[in-house]
Amino acid sequence: MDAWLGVYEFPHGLPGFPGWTRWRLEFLEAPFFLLVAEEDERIALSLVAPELVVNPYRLHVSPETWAHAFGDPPRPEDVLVLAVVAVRDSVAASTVNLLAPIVFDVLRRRAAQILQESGEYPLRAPLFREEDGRARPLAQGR
Amino acid sequence: MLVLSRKVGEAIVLGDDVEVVVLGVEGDTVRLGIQAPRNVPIWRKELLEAVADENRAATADPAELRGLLRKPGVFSNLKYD
Repeated sequence: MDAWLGVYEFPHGLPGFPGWTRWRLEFLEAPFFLLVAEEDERIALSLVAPELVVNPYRLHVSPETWAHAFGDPPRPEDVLVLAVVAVRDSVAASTVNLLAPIVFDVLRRRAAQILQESGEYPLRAPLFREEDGRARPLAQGR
Repeated sequence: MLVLSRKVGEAIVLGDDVEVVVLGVEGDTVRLGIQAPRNVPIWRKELLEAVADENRAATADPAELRGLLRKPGVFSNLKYD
């Protein structure tokens, strides 16, 4: 996993932060990663593997989108996919953006947030579900 | 902003290699056909804005996120099945 961490170049920035092209991926604590802006160390996003919520999670990326985001598409074995967590009023109410995952090319150290237009996945999927008063991941291991 | 009127079947050309043609109009819906090079992404604007808003809402001070997501008890009641 250490090979995944470190600074990535986002040639187009991130939606909402278009001019910020360098972000550093850090491991926080299972299952969370942090993506810290190199331009401003006080700004970060928390990330999780989308499979924590939906397993399997499918990535639908058109050749046009790959070309725009990466030039040449990354090799499948070099791709790391993580989704942005929005921590709401409480951590238990957090949601995960499955519509637009962040795709990392761990070999070439480039990354992009890819907008999936298949309509299959929501912008705000609950990170946990409530059942018997207990919060737990939605689809772990399925 | 440049404003143009087009009829169904008419097109506009943007730069050297992007063409937008009006395929049809039904009520308040306009169907557009777009031809562009493969490195030109085409997005519905409201979707892109929703993702930008969501990113802005999700950002926080890393120290705050570390504190929140590492807080004892936050995951102690998690059951991974």
